[in-house]
Amino acid sequence: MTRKAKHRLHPIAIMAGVGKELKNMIAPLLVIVAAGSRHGFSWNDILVPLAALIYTLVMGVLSWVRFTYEWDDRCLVVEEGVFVRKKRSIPLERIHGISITEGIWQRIAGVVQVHVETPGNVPGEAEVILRAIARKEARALQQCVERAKNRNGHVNEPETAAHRPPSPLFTLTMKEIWIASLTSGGALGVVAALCAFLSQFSDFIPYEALVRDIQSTWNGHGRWYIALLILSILLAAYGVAIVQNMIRYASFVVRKQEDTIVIARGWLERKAVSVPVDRVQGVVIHESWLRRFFGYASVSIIHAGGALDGGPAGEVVLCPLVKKHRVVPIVQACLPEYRLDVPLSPLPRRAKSRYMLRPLYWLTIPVGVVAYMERPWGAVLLLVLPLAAWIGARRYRAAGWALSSKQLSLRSGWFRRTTVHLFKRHVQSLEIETTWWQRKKQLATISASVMPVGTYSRVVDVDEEDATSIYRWLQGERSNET
Amino acid sequence: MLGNSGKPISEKAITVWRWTGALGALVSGAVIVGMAWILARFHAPKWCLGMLAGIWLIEVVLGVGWVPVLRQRRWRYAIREEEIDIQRGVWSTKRTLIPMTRVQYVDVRQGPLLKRYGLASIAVFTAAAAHEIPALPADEAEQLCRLIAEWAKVADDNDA
Repeated sequence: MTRKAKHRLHPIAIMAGVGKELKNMIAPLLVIVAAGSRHGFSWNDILVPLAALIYTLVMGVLSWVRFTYEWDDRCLVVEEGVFVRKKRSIPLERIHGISITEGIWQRIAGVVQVHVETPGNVPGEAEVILRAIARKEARALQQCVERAKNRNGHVNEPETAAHRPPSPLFTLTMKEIWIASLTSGGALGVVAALCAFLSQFSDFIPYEALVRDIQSTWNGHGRWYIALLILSILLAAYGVAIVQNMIRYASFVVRKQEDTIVIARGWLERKAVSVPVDRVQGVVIHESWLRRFFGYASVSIIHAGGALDGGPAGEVVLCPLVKKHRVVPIVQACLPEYRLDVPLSPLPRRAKSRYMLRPLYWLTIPVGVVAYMERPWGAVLLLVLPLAAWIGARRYRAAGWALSSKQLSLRSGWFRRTTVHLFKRHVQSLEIETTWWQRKKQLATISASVMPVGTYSRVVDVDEEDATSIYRWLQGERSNET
Repeated sequence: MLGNSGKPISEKAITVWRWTGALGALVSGAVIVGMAWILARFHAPKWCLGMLAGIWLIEVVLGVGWVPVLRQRRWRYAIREEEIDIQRGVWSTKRTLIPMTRVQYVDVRQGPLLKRYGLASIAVFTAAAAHEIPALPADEAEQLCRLIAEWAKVADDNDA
């Protein structure tokens, strides 16, 4: 392919960019206006917001004018910056991953937003966003990247698979989306967002009066009303979280195109994330207790780049919700090197009492104090203690590890049982920690860290001998491989 | 079990950590005096103030007297052609293994305190995290830094 001329983004990029800026600005601006117009309204009050609005618009247009991109079969070159020109040239084969999003603005104009993940340690610097380019161009860029990678890796393959999209390896049914939304912990996130939103308006919501009211209501008969109110807020948050999830995971499709895993999802905002197989640093299987009860799990892959998926850095969701027996074949199809069905070794029996006692160390005193102060009914709270011990025992049962010549698997947790499978060549460092009490029982805590997040998985109270063997496994690396 | 291999760090580290411990105690002392003052204004009982003073005293004894010694005594590092092996920890023993192939770059760091005692630290960076070996004699740190960089490069070449 020859070098194309410099391109500008589709003009809708202005709207998308300005829209995003305005969304961030709107809450503080509202506060300013509201605070200003407390003593009657005057035109002066909207001067600041108006200036901000015009500034954003002008900057939006200017940055669109000054943003150009071009690529050939080796490099993607982006020039940007209104006052300070910045030119970045990214070799195609070094691109970590590409995600294609269609936001509402992009859909209006029939274009897509391309998010290019590049190697780099600074989060904001390691990415390029092409806010609005034609779908055809995006696909061409994707193919160029794949071709550049193939050229580096092995012999240039003829384009056999590229012409027709391969059949999907995984899709979500409507019922599964529904279950995924119902069992997700997203409601807490919504409550947190609501609190953050309300705190923005703390200037003119009379919290103090509210608190006084609540106190008097509390002391009267109002207890039940308040409980009801809180309950309904929580339920509403739950509902919002469900809807969010449904939008997020609608028409979820995973495909494998040659050596790239492509994950497409979303309803109002279509998103396609491409992760090259050789950038995958590990496979994570989350099973929350609720989902485990229904026989479901969720699968993520650890990705060397940043957060392509909007989730925690480095984790890309492969299957939001999947029946347990399908996990192994799906991962097998996407990442054939990983062995997920390895039998995990349990922890030694002497670790069980430590698991049961550990939550009690910090629970006993506060629970005891509250139970004493709120007696006689507070005594019910004492039931928490055996429950905590029981959960500790379950956590003991859940934890385990497995080691093969190439792969380390670690599992821990009960509320959210997490199994991590890592290849030896991806383990950045390994740590064994022993406290004085652990040493007395010959136990150790083992943790492994991978790119890009650091410590990823940790199992407490592994047999000391086993921990040592895992340590030696990474130590004798060269001698084993050659 | 893993043997206790590797070299200890410089004994002057104790002095350096005593100084940093003392500085920390000074800062927390100021905080505690502030708290005591507030408590006194609200006519808190005497034993409250006594407890605060006790906490501070414990911190001084631990942070200046005891912990630096233990820390220095527990620290071990071994830098071999294939890996960096670090052992440390006062309350718990931590043993960290970094394969040489994962090392991305190495820093030598020297703050004013370390400089005063002719010491320097090495920070080893992988793609996931930084690992520090504190308080080595300055020239040795320099040398080790070169050595690690060299070995990391060799390991990478072999890997490719």
